[in-house]
Amino acid sequence: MTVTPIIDVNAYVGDWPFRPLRHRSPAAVRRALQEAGITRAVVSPLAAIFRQECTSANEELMRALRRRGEFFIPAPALNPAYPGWEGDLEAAIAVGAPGVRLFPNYHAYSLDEPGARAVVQRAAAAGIVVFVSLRMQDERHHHPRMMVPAVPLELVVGLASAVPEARIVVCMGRYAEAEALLAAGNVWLDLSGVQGPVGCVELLAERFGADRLLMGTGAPLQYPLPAAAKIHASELPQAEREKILGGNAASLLRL
Amino acid sequence: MRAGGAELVIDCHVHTEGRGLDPRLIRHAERLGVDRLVVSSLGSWAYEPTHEDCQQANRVVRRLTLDYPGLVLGLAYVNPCHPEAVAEFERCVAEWGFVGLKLWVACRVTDDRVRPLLQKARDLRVPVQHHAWYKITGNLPHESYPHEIARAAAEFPDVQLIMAHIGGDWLRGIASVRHQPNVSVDTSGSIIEDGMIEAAVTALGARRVLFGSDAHGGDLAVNLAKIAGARIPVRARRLILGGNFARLAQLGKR
Repeated sequence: MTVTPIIDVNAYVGDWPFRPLRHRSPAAVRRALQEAGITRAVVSPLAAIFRQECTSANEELMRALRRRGEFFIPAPALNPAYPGWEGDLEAAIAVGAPGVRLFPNYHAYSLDEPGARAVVQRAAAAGIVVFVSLRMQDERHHHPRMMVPAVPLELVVGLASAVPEARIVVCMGRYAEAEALLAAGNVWLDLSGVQGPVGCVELLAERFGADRLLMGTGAPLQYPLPAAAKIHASELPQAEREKILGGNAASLLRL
Repeated sequence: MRAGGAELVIDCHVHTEGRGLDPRLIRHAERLGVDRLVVSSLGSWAYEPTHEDCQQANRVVRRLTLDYPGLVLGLAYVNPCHPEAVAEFERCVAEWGFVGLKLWVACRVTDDRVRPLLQKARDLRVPVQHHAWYKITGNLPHESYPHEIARAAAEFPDVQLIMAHIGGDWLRGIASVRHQPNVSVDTSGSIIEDGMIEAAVTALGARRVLFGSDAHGGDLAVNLAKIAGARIPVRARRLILGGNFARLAQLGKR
């Protein structure tokens, strides 16, 4: 019997400074994801968000993932506003990472700056994906001294349109943001930020097709089970559910 | 499949869509094993609705209780700023069999004009589901904070208040109401942060946590999975999924 791969495109390891996390280490995050039925996960280091340089966080991630088997798929973080990002990108390519992750809002740069475009162009040339974190948590609950607005949708779409050969996965977008984001044909939508309306997954698939929808959890900041549950519960043919659960991600990431 | 193995699964926080319920919600509820939908209509979703808006909203819910007997239970929705609100609330419960009161953002829960409604809820012995949120981005002008729910509940210790969405920012919400035993929380909405259900059960006890979805805006499967995936005892899960609302609303005893 073939087991449907269930691939999480938006997972992390590490600490979150604003509240205690129950699952922080790769082993703990993997256990939590597997309990939700997830078979593989694209993972990035939370530490990279709060350091301006990402090299150290990426190296820690790679060390922590050593001997962890094939469950985790690393997506090292990049900050094109910090010197040396080119080395981080080359290191990611060298370890076989299928993608890199950007946090434009936490790293305080705009996606229409030359550095962001250079990252996306280089990633496209190397055949890897760029994950763009739109937000990490609900803006209403941020720390009063660290309120971080979401990345403007038009800048994501503008960047994707400017580099049509790129493949961009937007993480933590909302249902109401899907239409604007998916207007660019080379954007994929991670569903970890979509918690409604009723039947949200089938509604998105009916409107935009199932091919560019990807399962993501946002773990360990978010519960992993709802991510899979909303797809399993959707009124979609099994083939489309399987695409969203993991088939699309497997193709996109060339797993 | 029964959601979470519960005997009776009650979604205590559902709103109408337009003038009714989307058949999609009914289908999802059936497939996911949700037995009861506790429905309020917020009418046009105006923050400060007229009394007539509220009356119309309640008529919509009344119709749904007739169209879906056994599935839909009604909550009366009023704007406390209008003096006729108390009579409307009483009519919905006494004549139409609604099981509680819904208050949203027209007026702070600590406003003097809410007192007659809480007194009436006490007389009618029905719970009050009250929206509350603490938003660092700024609340609406009359949107209640979790600590205000606790303050109102302290004044009416024999009224059962259900604070919606665990107060949004759930850590702050739980901390605000934990010492007020007549405040329960519902888990509805878009926040699915890891550990929120376990934290609520630990701080408040399982009897003060209620499953809700905030449908149609919230997805039913997402909100059920928050409860299903939480590391809590089986008995706690059953209480959250239905037992607690049945007890607070005295279902089967009316």
